[in-house]
Order: sequence, then structure tokens, then C-alpha cells
Amino acid sequence: MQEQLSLGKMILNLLQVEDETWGLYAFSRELLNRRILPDKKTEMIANAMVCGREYAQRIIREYGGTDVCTIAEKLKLKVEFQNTLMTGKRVLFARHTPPDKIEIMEEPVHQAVRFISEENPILVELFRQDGIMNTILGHEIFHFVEEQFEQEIYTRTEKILLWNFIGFKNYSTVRTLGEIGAMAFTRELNKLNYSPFILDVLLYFGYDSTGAGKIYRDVLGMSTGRCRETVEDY
Amino acid sequence: MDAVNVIIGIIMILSFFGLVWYCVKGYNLMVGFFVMSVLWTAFALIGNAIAPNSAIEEKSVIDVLTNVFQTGPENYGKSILVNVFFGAFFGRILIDTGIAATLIRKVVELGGDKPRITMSLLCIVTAVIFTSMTGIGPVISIAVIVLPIMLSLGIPSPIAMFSFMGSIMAGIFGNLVNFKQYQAIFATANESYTSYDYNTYFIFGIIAMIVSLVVVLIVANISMNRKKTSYAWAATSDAGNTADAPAISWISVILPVIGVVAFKVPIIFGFIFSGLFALLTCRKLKGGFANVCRMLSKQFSDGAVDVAPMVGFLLTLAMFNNAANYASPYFKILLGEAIPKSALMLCIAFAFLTPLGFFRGPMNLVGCGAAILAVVVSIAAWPVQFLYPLFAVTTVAPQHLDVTQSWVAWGFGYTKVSTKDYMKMSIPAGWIIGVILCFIVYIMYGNLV
Repeated sequence: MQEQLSLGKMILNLLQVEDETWGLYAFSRELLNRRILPDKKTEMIANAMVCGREYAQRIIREYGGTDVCTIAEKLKLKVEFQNTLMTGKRVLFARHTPPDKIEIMEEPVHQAVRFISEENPILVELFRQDGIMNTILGHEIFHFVEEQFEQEIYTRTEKILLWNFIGFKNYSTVRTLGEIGAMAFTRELNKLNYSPFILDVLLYFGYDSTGAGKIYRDVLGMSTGRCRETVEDY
Repeated sequence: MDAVNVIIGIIMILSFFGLVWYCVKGYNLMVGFFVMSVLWTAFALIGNAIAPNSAIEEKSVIDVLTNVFQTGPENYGKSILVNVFFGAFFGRILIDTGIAATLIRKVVELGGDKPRITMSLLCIVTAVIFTSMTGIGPVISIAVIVLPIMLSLGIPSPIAMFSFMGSIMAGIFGNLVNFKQYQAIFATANESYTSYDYNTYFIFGIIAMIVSLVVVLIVANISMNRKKTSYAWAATSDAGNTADAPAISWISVILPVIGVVAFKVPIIFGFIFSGLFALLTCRKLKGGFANVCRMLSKQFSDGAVDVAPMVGFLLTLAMFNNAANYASPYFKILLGEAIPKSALMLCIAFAFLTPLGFFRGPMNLVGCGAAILAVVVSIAAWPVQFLYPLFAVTTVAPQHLDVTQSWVAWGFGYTKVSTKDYMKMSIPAGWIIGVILCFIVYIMYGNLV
């Protein structure tokens, strides 16, 4: 039986987790995870993060600021706020639907802020409601940016070979790279000193504290190598 | 006297509309069909007391009650439920061994991050899986794997749910247990139809499966043109790090169908053999005799639990089927002249009326269709090779896309899709499938009439 840590304790521990570990955690939820070798994953994580940061700098230069709401306005994005959408164990926090729609789920944020308000004051300051909302909005803006630069942006141009049958090849993009890039993008834009992936645990906690504990253990397992999987020979 | 029969017929039709309303409201189907059995039996007995009912000739009230409430469920239990239980047992084995999950993961790895292609591959493998599996338990077990994958590919949830439910429907066209279920209803309507077997139906079943899968995928793809795929920030506690089942075990999914069609083995033997093959190739038959017995026993009982909600319903449906035989003379008076007597016209009528298979309507054998079947059978000597596929079309396609289907109802709760969004796709798809397949029935079997 696993001991259930408090939310505050989990978040404090997760604040120490390195970016590469968060990247590996993201890959653990990737549908094509088993088709990518560990070394390749490490390389992809680094490239996706550089990509996210570079595009954040580019946006800051082009739009003259880091305020995500202003950027969203200048990009003519339609930002909508919804309640929540939970499908089985999957909780949706936000989504971008091309060409210009962004939906942000408010309930997970409200719940997270309520839970964190009972924790360490440092955490209360780190995870204020407007800060979380901006982090999420920044993340979704990156997906919009990806659409605009689809032909050149790393997260869309990097592909893996799925199969090769008598000369017919099927390459696929890796969706997780977009998520890693989006996290680096919003982190740069919002000047965060932690990985926004931490919100996966914080926002999930209000719906399923045991599940949040499992995500927490998965992340820590990545850093110690316990959760690394074998990759198929292909 | 004819006026009495007409009045009773009208009351029965009104009670049918009451059942449709009841189904739409989402009330319990087992209770609904039991009440309908009681009502139709009572109306038939009252009618017979006033003017003789040809279906009740030389039968006492007790004979009628015995036939509806005793013989109906008894025969159904004997001929169908055993198949349902062994089918559910086999389905549970496919879940527990991870074979179904492995097949799903493999097709995702074939398609990659291409929503339309991967959705199509997932639908194909789901349809193949459901040629053997049955019951709400296996559907949920597969749904909790397939639906999150579709959602993580950015497929809008109404389309994900529709394509998944549609692919199950396609698989049901080839499903052994469902075939036996509907065939038993045919045997109730006309004893000479008892000889009709799965092998005779098989070719049409496979054609129907392919056609309906293609229609579902076309409708889903057209809907995706309107609702773009999205990029979502979502979290899940399920990392899905389960081991793959060995490649040799994957064939288990279609082994029961192969056994029945190619080797003419009995259905239950097919399920048992395929189940044991799956367990053996997945190295689950280890840990000692007692351990294996415990595992098999648990899988059988889990399978029984999976189909438990539908067992009660199926038994009351059997009562209703027999009650429908006594009701058919009244329907014949009202509808007899309207029912076509040529193969072409009957196919056109069925194609046109396919939507009446939704909401357990009169074209649906697992609904009020048993009464219509009795009327159609009494009009002319239709060959079963022609009539069965026709009713299978208007039963399988609407029924397994319908909001009254237990797993579809579950899907609404799981995906939070509105019934309106879902029905915008399911009803047109069901109708299109009905029209195409009725035409195919005419081409394939029209000459037998």
C-alpha cells in the first residue's frame, strides 16, 4: 500500500524535478512511446524545449511583451472558458482547436487554488489563479503558433518511421513534442521557475487524489529510472 | 367482430408508441418489455374471448400464459443464454490476457499521429473484436482503451464515441451470439426457420460488416471536416504500461468465427477452444491445476456479470416475442394489406423504414419487431435466407447505434457527449446502412422468393 502524500509535499518535491524528467513523463503518455529509443527521446526533449523557448522569444519580440492575454488578443484568438471535461481517468485542462479557438477549463484551476490555499504560503504565492490561467493560455498559444509555422517548427517537422513495407514508409509526428514545446514556451513567456508540467498533478488532484499520487510517483520514477520502459526492436 | 379486432390492434399500436416513449425516457427495458408482454397477452386473451384469435385456437388461457411466461424464457435460456454466457467468458479472456488491448495498441502504432487513419484502424480492429465478444463488460473494457486514444489524437468526443459505437455495430453483423439470438426469434415465428445456420448467413454478415464500417467511417470523416481535431492539455493517471500479448495469441479474436465457419464446430466449443488457446499462448495456464481452475472460474463468473444486465432483459424479450405471436392477427388486420408481397417491394419498404429500428421500434427484432416479423411471416412463405438478413439489417444497424443500447447509454456518461450531437451522426448512418444493405439483400437473395 502506497502512502498518500499531501498535495503540498508532492508539489514541493516536484518543484525539484528536472526538465528532462518531465519530458520523459510526457513521453510515458505518448501513444508512440514504445517506438522511440531512449537516447532519441532525450534528444527530442531537448530540441522541443529549445524550440518552445525560441518561439516564445520570437513572439515576445514581435508583439512587444510577455502578457499572454495581450498576445492572445493580438493573435485574434477566441478564448473561451468552460467548466470541465473528464473522460474516465483523463481530465482535460485546455485545448486549442484550429484555426483560432482556445478553451480553458476553469473548474480544475479553481479547485487547485482552493487546495493549495491550505498549503505552504510559498506554494500559495507560486500557484495563484491568474498565474495558472496565464500558464495554460500560454501553453495553448504555442499550439496556435505551431499551426502557423507547421512547415518549419521542430515539434511538427520531427518525425519517426513507423513502418517500412517494400519501400512504402509511414512517418508520424510525435504529439508529445508539441506538449513539451508548449510547456517550455509558456514557461519562458510567463517567466516561471518551475516546469508547467507540475500542473498535471496540481490540477488533477481535485478530481482524483489517488490518481494524482500515481502521476507523482510516475514522475519521480522517471527521475530514478524505475519507470523507463523497454523499447521494441523494429 | 372485425371492429373489435381493429380496436384491439389500434390499442396494441398505441401501447407500442408508449414503449417507444418509455425507451426514449431511458427507463428499465426489462420491466418495459415485461409490461408489454402482459399487456399484449391480456389484449389477445380479451380479444379472443370476444372474437376468436387464430393464434390462440384450441388453447386455454393457461396454455397461452404458459407459452408466454414459461416456454418463452425457457426456450430462450436453452438455446441462447448458454451461448451468451460462453461468449462473455471468451470476451473476458480476451480482456484479461491483454490480447484486445495489444491489438489496439499495435494499430495505433501503425497509424501514428494521424487522427483519421488511426481512427479508421481502431474502428476496423474494434469491429473484428466484436465479431466474437459480446456484452457491456467487454465493450466498456475496450472503450476505456480506445476512446482516450481517440481523444488524445484530438478527435472530438462525439465523433470518437460515434465511430467506436459504429464499429461495434459493424462487428455485431458477424457476431455468432447475436446471430443465434435473432435466429431464435425467427424460429419462434416459424418453426421451419430453425434450420437456418450461421454458415448460410456468414457471407452476408461479412458484407454487412464491411459496408456498415465504411459508412460509419465516411460519416465520421465528414463530421471531422466540420469539427477540427484539437490539441489538448490533459492529464491521466493511466500510463498504459502493460505488456503486449504474444503475436500468436492475436488470432484468438477471430478463432471462434473461423472454427464455426471453416470447421463447422459448435459455437460453444468454438468459444472454449479459442479461450483456452488464448490462455495457453499468453502463458496464463500456469501456477498449478487449482490456480488455473480458480482463474477459469473467475473469468466465467466475471463474464456472467458482464452480461447480467442483459440477461433479465433477454428473458423478458423472449416473453414479448411469444406474446407478439398472439398479437400478430390484430396487426395483420391493420397492416396486412400494407405489407408488400414481392421481394423488391419488401426490400424497398425495409430500406425506407430502417429508422423505425431505433428506439426498439417495430423494425427491430430486439424490440417491437417480433410482432412485425410474425405478421410478415404470415403474409407469404418468405425463404429465411432472404427474410433473416433483411430483419438483421433493420435490427443490428439501428439497435447498436441507438441510445437505448446499454453500452451507448454508458458512453454518454463516460464521454459527456450530448445525445443530440451523437444522434446527428447515428441516425443518418443507420439509415444509410439500412438502405445499402436492403439493396444488397435483394441482389443476393431476391431471386429466392
